[in-house]
Amino acid sequence: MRAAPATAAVLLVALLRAAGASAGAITGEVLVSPADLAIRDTSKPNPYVGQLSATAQTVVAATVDTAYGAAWVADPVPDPGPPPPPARMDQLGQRFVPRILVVQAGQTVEFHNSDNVFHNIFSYSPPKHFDLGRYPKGKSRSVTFVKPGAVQVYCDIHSDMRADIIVAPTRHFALIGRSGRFRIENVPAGTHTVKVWLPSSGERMATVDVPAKGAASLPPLEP
Amino acid sequence: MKPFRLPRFRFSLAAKIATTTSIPILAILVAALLAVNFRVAAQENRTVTADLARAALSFEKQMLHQGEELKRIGIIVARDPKFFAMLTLPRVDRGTEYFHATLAGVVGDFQRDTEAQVFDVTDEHGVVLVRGGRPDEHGIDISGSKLIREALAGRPASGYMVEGRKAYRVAVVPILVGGALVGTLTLGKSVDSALAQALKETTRSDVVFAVDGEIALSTLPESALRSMLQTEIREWRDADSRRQAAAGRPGQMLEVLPVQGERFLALRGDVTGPEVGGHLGYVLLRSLDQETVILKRIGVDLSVAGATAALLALLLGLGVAAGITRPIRRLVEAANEMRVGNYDFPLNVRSRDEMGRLAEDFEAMRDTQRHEIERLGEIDRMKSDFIAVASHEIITPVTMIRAYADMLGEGALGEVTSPQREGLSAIRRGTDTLTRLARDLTNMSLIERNQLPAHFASCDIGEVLEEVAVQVAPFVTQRDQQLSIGVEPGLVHPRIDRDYLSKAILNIAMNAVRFTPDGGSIGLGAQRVGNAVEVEVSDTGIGIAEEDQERIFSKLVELKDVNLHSSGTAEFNSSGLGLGLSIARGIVEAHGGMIQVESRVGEGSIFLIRLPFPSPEVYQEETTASDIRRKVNATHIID
Repeated sequence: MRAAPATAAVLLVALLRAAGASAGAITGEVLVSPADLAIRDTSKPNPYVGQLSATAQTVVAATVDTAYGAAWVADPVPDPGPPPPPARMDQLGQRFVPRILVVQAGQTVEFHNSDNVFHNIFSYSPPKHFDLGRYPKGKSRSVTFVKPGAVQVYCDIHSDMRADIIVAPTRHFALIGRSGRFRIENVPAGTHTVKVWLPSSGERMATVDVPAKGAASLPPLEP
Repeated sequence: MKPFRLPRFRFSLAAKIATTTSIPILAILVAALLAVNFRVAAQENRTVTADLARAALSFEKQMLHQGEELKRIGIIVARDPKFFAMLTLPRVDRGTEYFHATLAGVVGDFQRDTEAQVFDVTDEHGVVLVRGGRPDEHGIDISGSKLIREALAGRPASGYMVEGRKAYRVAVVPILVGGALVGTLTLGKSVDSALAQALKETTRSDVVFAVDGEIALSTLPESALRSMLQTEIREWRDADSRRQAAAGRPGQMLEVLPVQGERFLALRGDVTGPEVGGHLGYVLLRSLDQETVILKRIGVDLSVAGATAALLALLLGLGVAAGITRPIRRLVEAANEMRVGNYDFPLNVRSRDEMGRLAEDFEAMRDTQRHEIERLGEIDRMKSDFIAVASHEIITPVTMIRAYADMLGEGALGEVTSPQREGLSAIRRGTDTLTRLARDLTNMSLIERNQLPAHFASCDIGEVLEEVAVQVAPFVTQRDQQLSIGVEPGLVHPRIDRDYLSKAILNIAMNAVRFTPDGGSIGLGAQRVGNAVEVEVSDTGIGIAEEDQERIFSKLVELKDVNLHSSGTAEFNSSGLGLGLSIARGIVEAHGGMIQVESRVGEGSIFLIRLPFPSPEVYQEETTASDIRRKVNATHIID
């Protein structure tokens, strides 16, 4: 199953609502700076454009990948649900798609190569240290993320390629769009620590009291 | 007395020709050599200096190139995701052991690949995160340096880093990820002996690196030169630090260092670019003498070639001269030979030039003269023969006239009147003179034909002198002169023709009487002197001028002014032909002796006859020979 994060979040919210448990939502708004927006700056010419097929370029243009950050509940929340299915990160037009991916701890990510060229995905980040080696178009290699945290993903061959995978401890997380506003649904009532991640500022957090019904607004973030 | 004259040096024609032909060549050679040497000397220093400056330029270029190379490597490394990915990790992750271990691993990998001795990484604030490659070394804090500042501003920079006594050529590059600066990378290669060696090869100079005035690295072996250079470098450092206070660093400097008789040209400079931790300077060193050895060798070669050419020119000149003058020398020799009567000296001149012509003419002239001389000799011989025969033939009729005159005078042919007797007496005198003349002539001819004297025998010289005295006495008396005789008793000579010796002495004595004024003295003496008998005839006569003393022994010489005799009666012997002394000499020489005269004008003369004793063998042989000759030669006549 192809799980675009936005779709997944909508799905989760629907599920939690259906369960009818005592749960609220967390809303917040952060400043998405020009530096954050620059992560998907397409004005910079692709140095390897000659190696891209026409289809790949079309696909890049058509992809809806609008996240610039993520927010999630950082403390352990009881989660009775089944483990989520593997997420997918594509390598298309010498970019990671999506640029920012949020997964739940224990979830597997399939790194698929849709390009005509080899890629070599690796990360030095403390939550997950891996190097998938080089593989060609059509092949996938998988990594399961267990420890929560931010994982920087690079391709050793293409220095411009960069992705950030946020490993959240629970399924309570949301992506942050261009507007900077976000909403985490179905959070069990109580006091929770929420972490917000943006490319330019990294992880920041704040504590919020979530009511049984309705939404709580996230107070200003601590660095 | 002759005036003193400086001796004139005589140069042979050959020497003149050789000199004139070789001197221009020598002059040209010397001038050329001098010009070349001058040029070489002038060019020498200029060339070496310029060459060393070029070497320094090449040195600087190489050092710069190395810096650029390091920069390029740094940029490539900094763009590698596996390198820079470390530095993009969130700050919270950096303090961890995991982070440092991973960073050390990554840096280690890249350092191995780049073969850089310095591989330092800082964060985006210039704080050193890892110091690769030199874990044991303390390392210096480069974070505040100009190099790091440049890199933090996003510009790669290259320069030098000094740690202790070690110097490194370094490049610092910014690490940029997605346009953002995440850190800096400092790559460095040590300034080591391999580099120095490589620089030595390209600059053809010894390379010395000095860190803060101390030699850190050198291609020079441990030597006097090196220790001297060390001292110099310290002095330069001190001078520089003083000067720096006043007005900046001087840049490159050129100095000549004399070390143990060899001159070295040292060019010192400072490496260009920012420095961290210390000052790095360099010295390029060359032996000036070795540099110029080729020029010097050219000079020597030219000198040798010049000397050889000069020698060849001289030899050639001599050869040419010898070729030209050989016929001339032959002609000179032939002329010399001619003078001593040899007309047959071969000329051997066959050239067809003027020399050949001259030789032919000389030959022709010589032939002419030879014929002339032969003809004259023949005439002379005929003359002598004629005189000998004629004078001898005259004696017979004259003797007859004398005999009849005597008979008439004695009255044997009848009564003679007094005037008649006087006439007869005159006839007798005339015949005597005529006889004497004839005999003189005959004797002279015989002497000339080496036929007189011929009767050698042992003889008492005293007796001979007494005999002469008796003959001279009447004339001496007539002239009122004194005659004295002094003879060593028993003076006997074993080989004397008594009659002829007597005649020779008589001739001289008569001469003495004749040229001695009335009342003068005549002396006869004989004594043994060494291995000879010396007979002396002295007088107090008018004397003989020096220039005439040799001439008087020649034939037919009568000294002028005979009439100067005070008595005016010179006629007593004037009937002579002047042959007297000539005959005397002929006789003495026939005895193996010699005759000399010492005389002063107005004081008198001494004639000395020296008759050496013959060695016994010669005496034996000679007697035999003279005995034989006596029998053969029947025509000699004695007065």
